[in-house]
Amino acid sequence: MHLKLTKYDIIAQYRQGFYLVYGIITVIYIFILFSVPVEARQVVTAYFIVSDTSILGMVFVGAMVLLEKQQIILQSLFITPLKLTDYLWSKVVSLTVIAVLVSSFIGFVPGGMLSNWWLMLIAVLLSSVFFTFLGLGIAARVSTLNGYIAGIVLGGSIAGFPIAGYFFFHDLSLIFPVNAAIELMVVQPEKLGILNGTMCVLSLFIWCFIGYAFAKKQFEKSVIRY
Amino acid sequence: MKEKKLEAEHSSFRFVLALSSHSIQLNMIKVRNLSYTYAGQSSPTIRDISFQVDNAEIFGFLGPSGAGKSTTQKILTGVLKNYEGSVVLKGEEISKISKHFYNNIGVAFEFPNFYLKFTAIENLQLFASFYNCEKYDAEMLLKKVGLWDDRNLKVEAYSKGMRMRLNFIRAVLHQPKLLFLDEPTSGLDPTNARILKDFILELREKGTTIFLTTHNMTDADELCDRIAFMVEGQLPLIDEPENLKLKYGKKTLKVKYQSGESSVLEEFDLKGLGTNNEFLKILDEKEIETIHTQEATLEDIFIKITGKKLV
Repeated sequence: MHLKLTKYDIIAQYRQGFYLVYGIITVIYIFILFSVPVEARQVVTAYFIVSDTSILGMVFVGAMVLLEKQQIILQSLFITPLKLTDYLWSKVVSLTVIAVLVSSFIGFVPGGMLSNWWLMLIAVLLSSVFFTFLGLGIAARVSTLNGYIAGIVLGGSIAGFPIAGYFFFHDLSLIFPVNAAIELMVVQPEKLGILNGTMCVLSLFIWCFIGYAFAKKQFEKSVIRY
Repeated sequence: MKEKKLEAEHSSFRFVLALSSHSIQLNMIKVRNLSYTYAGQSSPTIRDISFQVDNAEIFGFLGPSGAGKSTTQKILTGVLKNYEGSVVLKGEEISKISKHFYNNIGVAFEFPNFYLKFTAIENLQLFASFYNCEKYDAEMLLKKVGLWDDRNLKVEAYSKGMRMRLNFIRAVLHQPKLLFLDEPTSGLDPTNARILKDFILELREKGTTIFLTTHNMTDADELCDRIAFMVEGQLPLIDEPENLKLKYGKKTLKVKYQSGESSVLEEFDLKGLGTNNEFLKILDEKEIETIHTQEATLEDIFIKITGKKLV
């Protein structure tokens, strides 16, 4: 990983106001969570966290890549010794940092509703990594914001499939990243069990790998060899 | 006896090695029968071109828009890989280079691109971190192009001319052996254009090979050791600017002088000019306004060869 580029990406996100937007959204989420009945608060919190890390992460990474495309900066980046892998991980790590910060606030400020901080951390890290890679891959293919939004609606619908499945086809639904992440966050570690927990983590890992391969392929095809 | 034989073999091996490395060093770029067709297009954009660029040479690449100059540069910088023919840079086929090879290449695109929310110095520091080779001091570079005082200004506040200068120093920051410049003086005032052109010549003196793409005939004339004209994907002509100007120019001289109330313009053959009485008489008796030999300009040559104007 290229530490300097990661640092610059974090600074760029700060200067472009991403942290402000995340801050406002976090406050709104926390207010909403306080108004949700206590018995439903745990699932809603988990859902907010996953949607926050996935949807916002995807939107922001898309905005960053489209901006870099618009400023033709990518053209200059990829005729240096900088590796594509370093570029992709820099975006993923920088956005995952915000996702973890925001999730920690949302997950624990409104009353410590989530089961375990470590399990939440794993869920947020892995789902953020996957959805950011997915966003990177989609952003590499498109050139307009409208095209990108259409792409993430389609990509997000497939990858984030049917959160409803979590309630109706629970075990089967855990192969999808959103459901696996929610499971890790809401079920108590002793109830989750090693097998179930491992399956969720493994599922998220596989999705991260798929996301990475997708992003790398799309950049190689549409950005580097334009 | 055996030791002597071994020593002789070693010395001949060293000689061959020295010869081969010398020949590699002579050509920084060697292009043979290069053709390129974009996906979805039936006819090639680049059509069977061959040329070479020597070490520490400034090679001008001229031609109208859409001629294939940018495509050629993209191939030479390793951006486009599925070409036909051979493109060897510093002894390596460009389609097979590793990322590490980019330590040798610097590129300044026609349209400067930066992280606009970062300052000039931040942009330079970030790009410097991508290279693992010896670099120029950013302070020296910024001072050289007159941007030191504005180093902490975000690039979004920079004018076109300031961005062009920053674009140039970013391309040379890592002391590349091969530098690609696309319209480097575009948008610069004459003073800053002069500073940049002097810098380009200084880099050539230090051994940098420069591939200069431009529409600017004055720059090409002033900077290039050789120039190539690209038209419709082909290179009909490659030569030194001076040779071309003499070859395609008229061997005459025009004198403009005062005669009574008006100016008179006369043209004389250069052959036997020193003994041409009419010419000598004008020099002796008239008030001369201008005298010009009639060698061709690069633009004249371009139009003559291709039938197209530079756009």
